[in-house]
Amino acid sequence: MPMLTAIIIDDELKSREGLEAMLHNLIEGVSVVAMADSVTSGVKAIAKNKPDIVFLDVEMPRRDGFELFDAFDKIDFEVVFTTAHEQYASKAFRTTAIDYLLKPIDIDLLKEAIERAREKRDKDKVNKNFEVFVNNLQTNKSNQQIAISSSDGLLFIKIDNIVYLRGDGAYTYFFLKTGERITTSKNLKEYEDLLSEYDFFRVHKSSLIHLHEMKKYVRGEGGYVVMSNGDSVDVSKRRKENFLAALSKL
Amino acid sequence: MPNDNPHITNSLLNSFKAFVGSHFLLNIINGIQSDVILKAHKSAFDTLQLFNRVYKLALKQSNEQFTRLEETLTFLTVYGALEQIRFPNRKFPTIKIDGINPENSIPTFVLQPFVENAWLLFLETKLHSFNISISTKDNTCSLLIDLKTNAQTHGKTNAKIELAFLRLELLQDAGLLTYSANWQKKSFFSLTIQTL
Repeated sequence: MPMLTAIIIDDELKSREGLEAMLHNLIEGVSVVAMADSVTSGVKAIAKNKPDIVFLDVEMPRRDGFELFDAFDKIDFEVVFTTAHEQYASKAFRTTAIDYLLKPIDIDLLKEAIERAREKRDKDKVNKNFEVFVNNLQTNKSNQQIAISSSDGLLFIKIDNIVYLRGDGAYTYFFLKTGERITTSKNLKEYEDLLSEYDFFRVHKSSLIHLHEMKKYVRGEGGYVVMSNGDSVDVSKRRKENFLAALSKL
Repeated sequence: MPNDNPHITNSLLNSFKAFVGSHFLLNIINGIQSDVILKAHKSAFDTLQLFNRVYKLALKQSNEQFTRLEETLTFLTVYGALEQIRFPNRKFPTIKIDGINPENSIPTFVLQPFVENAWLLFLETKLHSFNISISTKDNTCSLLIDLKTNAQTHGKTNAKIELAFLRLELLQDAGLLTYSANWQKKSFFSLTIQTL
């Protein structure tokens, strides 16, 4: 389980130390990297440590916890409000907070909050990886190396190394020259939009092929193509005409 | 003192509910939980002792529209001791008492919200002084909170203070007391209650 880093912001020393001890002794996979006694010092700690989660007390001297959000253009950490004021809870949910814990903190609810934060963190990471992928394609075409998110993390592959892609609902399988097959949780249409300018063509609703990796086209109603790795890929009747037009431009 | 006014009864129960459900008490329990996990046994024990006292006092007073002043002072003193544990770096003031007649009584749950409010404002500052004094003469009780703070916080209120004012209004309308309250420029707040 990947370690999540956390910061605790609370004006009460005992409350900070108690939560740190709960996280350290009773919860797996969370490391408290800093603690702060005010919003001002909390902002500095976040900027320095870039935590995954911030446990944020609401009522603190001078600036309440909600004012922390004013200090950041983008909240790229998860927030769990900790408060003894139940009336703050609804306000917490109207902001970017994902969760809140009423004091005294219930250990089971703390565990649940951590899990929700972890799940959201993982999901955000996938989205961020895809942004990297898009950005890479759009800004660095000459390199022709793309990053795709997989179950293991980010994979960087050369576009020239892709033989074809097969879609299956929300998933897409990349078939590479090396014989590898990579699964991603994006549908084929998104890759069609991204790769069409690199001579990839959607020959079937479930197949996007790299035209340069085609060995043979076998005519038929729609016909099929044999790719460089030996796999056969059907061409749908509806797409045949456009497919042949694309081939003529190569 | 007789009381069969349901609004007054409700105001007492609402004030009690506000106290036992307050962030103050929930933070105290959170602190005890922290002491336990940190193995700070003495701190946990001391806090529990004070918590026990303040909770039982509040429970007892929830049945009484008026409380003997001596008991109210005990309540405020224990409250202050608990706050002192929560915030050891700030000095909760000793309550100065002048001319107390132990038999004097004042409305239950009325003084503590003003003291708590002043304490919270005091915590927000670094250089300001905080003093509390209570004096009595005959059947009149005066609370003076001397909090040197900035003008922006004068008159800052909260739900518990609103409840305290509501109780004072209802008791005054019932002919049981008269009162005057002022947010002072120099000495923050004063409250004078004359029981009839």
